[in-house]
Amino acid sequence: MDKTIRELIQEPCGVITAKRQLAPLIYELTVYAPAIVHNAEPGQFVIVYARDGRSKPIPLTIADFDKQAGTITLVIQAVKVGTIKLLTMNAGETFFALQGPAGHASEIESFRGAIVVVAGGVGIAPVYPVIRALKEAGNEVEAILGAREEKFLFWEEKIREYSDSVTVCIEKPPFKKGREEGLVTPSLEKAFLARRPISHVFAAGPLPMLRALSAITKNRGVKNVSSAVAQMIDGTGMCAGCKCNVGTESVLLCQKGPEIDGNLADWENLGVRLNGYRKQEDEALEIFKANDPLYKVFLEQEEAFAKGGVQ
Amino acid sequence: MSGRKVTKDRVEMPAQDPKCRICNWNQVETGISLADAKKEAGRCLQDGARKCESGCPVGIPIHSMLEFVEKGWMRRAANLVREHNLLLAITSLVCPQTEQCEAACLIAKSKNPAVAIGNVERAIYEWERDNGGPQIPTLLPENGKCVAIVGSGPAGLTAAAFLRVYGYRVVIFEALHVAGGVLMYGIPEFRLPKAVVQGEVDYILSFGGIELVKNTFISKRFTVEELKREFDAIYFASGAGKPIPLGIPGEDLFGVLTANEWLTRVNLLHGNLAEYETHLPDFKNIVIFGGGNVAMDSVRSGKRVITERVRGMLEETSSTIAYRRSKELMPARVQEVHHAEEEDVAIQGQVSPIRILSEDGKRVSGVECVRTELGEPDASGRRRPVEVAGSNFILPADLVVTALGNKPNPAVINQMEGVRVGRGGNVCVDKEGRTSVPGLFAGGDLGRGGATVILATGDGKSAALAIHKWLSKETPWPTPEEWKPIT
Repeated sequence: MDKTIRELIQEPCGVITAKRQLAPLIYELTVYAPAIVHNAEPGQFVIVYARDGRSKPIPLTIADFDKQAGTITLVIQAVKVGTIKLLTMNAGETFFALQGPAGHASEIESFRGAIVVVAGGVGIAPVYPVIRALKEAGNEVEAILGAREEKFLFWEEKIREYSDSVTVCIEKPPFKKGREEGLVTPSLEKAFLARRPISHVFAAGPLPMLRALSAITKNRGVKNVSSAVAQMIDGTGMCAGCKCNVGTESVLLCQKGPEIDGNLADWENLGVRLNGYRKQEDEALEIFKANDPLYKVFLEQEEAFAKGGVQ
Repeated sequence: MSGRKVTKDRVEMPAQDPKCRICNWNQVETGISLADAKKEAGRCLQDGARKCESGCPVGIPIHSMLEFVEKGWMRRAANLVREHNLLLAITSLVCPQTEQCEAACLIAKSKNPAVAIGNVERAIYEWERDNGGPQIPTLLPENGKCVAIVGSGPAGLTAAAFLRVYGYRVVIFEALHVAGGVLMYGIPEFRLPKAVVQGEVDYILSFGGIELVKNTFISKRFTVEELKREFDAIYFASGAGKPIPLGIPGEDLFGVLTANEWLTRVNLLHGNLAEYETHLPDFKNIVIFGGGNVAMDSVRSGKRVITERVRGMLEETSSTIAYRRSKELMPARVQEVHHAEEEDVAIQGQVSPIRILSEDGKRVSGVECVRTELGEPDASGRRRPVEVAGSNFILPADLVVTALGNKPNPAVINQMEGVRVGRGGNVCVDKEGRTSVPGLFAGGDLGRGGATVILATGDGKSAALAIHKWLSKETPWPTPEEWKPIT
């Protein structure tokens, strides 16, 4: 159902068609956005202005897309004011603005050697379309998923569908049978002990995890493709707020990224730039919690989930 | 009308008191009354030479405009300007009149103050706004052809409007969630109110037959190839959006922002207001590198943000412009430099940054600079700044904004297959906005690599006519030998 541009621009873009809670604070939104799906590829992202003109631009990696249905899937964790407000929106509502696809698509081919994909926390979402594309290109894919607690883990089954093996690492008890206890890094080390050669490690997740993984891949001399996050405004290369040192180069994550060479990335500087507004963000969160009726809406939503399990 | 005498008593533009205006975001210049506009228009000698008109990039018949105003024929004056320049409201506020029409004014040649053409133009706009708004020009019936325009800044908007006048349907693609381009994200409220820009956008869209598609970055959401397949012609006016870095150590520290990011966070996302989600860095000492209008806009925005933050207790704060050539050589409009100085901005000429400093390795704490001397003229004809050895000093700063100019964004150019690209990364176009590839037109900052609103407006207008001539088969596409690029 390839539509023309003239048809696509007449369609709505950014209508939430389904909302599902995956874990405490983590939600999956299906969003009708045929104009975005049209040219979207694994590894790319969108920028959401959630409710109104006061919303901030939030960059989100496209976690899945359905070209037939014209929808994209976004997995979002409620962390700060912006994401909490976004997650009080419900199916049927439309984002104030939705831009994308943006960024450079994952460079996927039939690699020589196995691929290990490591994902932690909400990083599990962006690696899903990458894993699928890797598998469809004929690669052997080993997935290592990490979560703070079992209850925060999601999409394990989706990932298994396209992976040759899946290892799940859980940091804190209770531990289910078959889970590795602790961080993802020992499991990556273990993956290297198997006899087959590993060509690439793909990674997505919190910065400390990406940094720790890069120490291992650098040491082993294995290519590391990490999906990084940054403060972003326009996603077209205009503001340069997402600049990031990769080796001797300064690259814009919205242009060359979000996937970068993890072995060459200056993770420390990325962290400094990502967290530069933390004080302002924390203050804003306190004010929001104290004054904004939307926070109560969000708490009720979370409570309903705690009572009823997965919706 | 000849035989008039030169008069010296130019009606000056009143402005908000500097101490007062740094506490608000309202327009600095408050506008002249209709009576004053008539009086000022009457200063025109109405000589036959019409020198001022040759200084206008869009060819407004300025003498007639002034004559109409003098006689009180305001609607005729407004319609006359809009025939040539659909962005009347905007250009009256941001045009460098002192270098264009007013520089060519015959009165100025006799060392007397030129007719305040820009101020009269603004009075025309304000009269029009208060008297039913602008009138829609006569539109030719739709001819069934459709043109895609990439970018909704001054070039794109102007081209769209004129193309609609000629009978074309138009689709404008804009990457951001608001139309207007640099007029919206770049130029601050106190110089160009966003309601004025929105008014002009709404006016052009009210013609009918012009569709605005926001949030759509051409090259990613839709490719140039796809546009070529579905539109009869494409006009690229995506501006110059790739900031030029300082290229010195420490530019990656937190608190070093490009002017694009800084101005967007303030103008478009209102990071200074609590009810908006976007944040600004905490700062008391802001240093801007650059000497153009963007540098002035950045520092003056900074001044207003600091004033809000410290509630007017400005003693321990500073706002500084550091420019590597001398103050006199700064490319900013004269009024902007004057206004910045009135607002207690320190303008340091002949200063060049060496490295950005940080006490904790994370946030900027200062900039090590060096003094410069002016040497021989460089390629731009301006004297080249040469660093003076041993003149190093430190400027304290907790917010550094780089305003060294922009280059066109390569993302869209990379998809314009076969198009000739200039040394500045700009798309080469001839004076009608034609690129080296048939069917692809370009203009504004994309062609010029960082110029003015009025030049972009002129580009949009001439490209619209060229597109019309080409699509109506009046003028064939020039052969490679005939094509004479001017950028």
